[in-house]
Amino acid sequence: MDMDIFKIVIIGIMGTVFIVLIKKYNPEYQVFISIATGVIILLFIYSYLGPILASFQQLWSRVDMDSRYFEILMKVIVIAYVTEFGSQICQDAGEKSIGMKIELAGKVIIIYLSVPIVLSLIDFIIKLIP
Amino acid sequence: MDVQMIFKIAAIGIVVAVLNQLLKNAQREEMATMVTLTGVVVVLMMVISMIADLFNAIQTMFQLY
Repeated sequence: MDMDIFKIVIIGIMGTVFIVLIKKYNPEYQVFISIATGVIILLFIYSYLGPILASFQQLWSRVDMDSRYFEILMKVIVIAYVTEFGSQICQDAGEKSIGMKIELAGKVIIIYLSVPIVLSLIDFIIKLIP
Repeated sequence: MDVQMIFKIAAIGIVVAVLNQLLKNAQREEMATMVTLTGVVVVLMMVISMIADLFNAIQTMFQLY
């Protein structure tokens, strides 16, 4: 389990070698190999994410705070992660403008999700000011 | 998800490239185009199912719906 990093590095190097190999003959397969390599590496990370999330949740339950905010935080993390994945693939394939638009969409959705937190912060500040 | 997917995609790419060259040398340009297109579609399907698996895994992990 701890030595997964070696596997991940080897998978990454292998994907790169295949991309370099195939670039000459069939350039349209580059993006497929890069997506497959990315998905496999992210699925490797996935098995580590469970314990991390569980410990975060434990920590959060110790503090007397609304669990709704924790859900928003998780959603924002997932959106950032997926957005980055998609936009990197688009930019690697040379479509910078689509990648930028995916990033913009991610940013807008994150702002939309975090509006309740900002509002509650402003409420709190107004309460503090007599 | 296993690593064999990368090998599969690379193998399909190389086979399609070879077939493409052969058909082009045999003066069958339209067949060569069809082979290339079919290879791209097959690999696209594989990659799309991989992405769907990843997104499903993330959504169940973070309990998002």
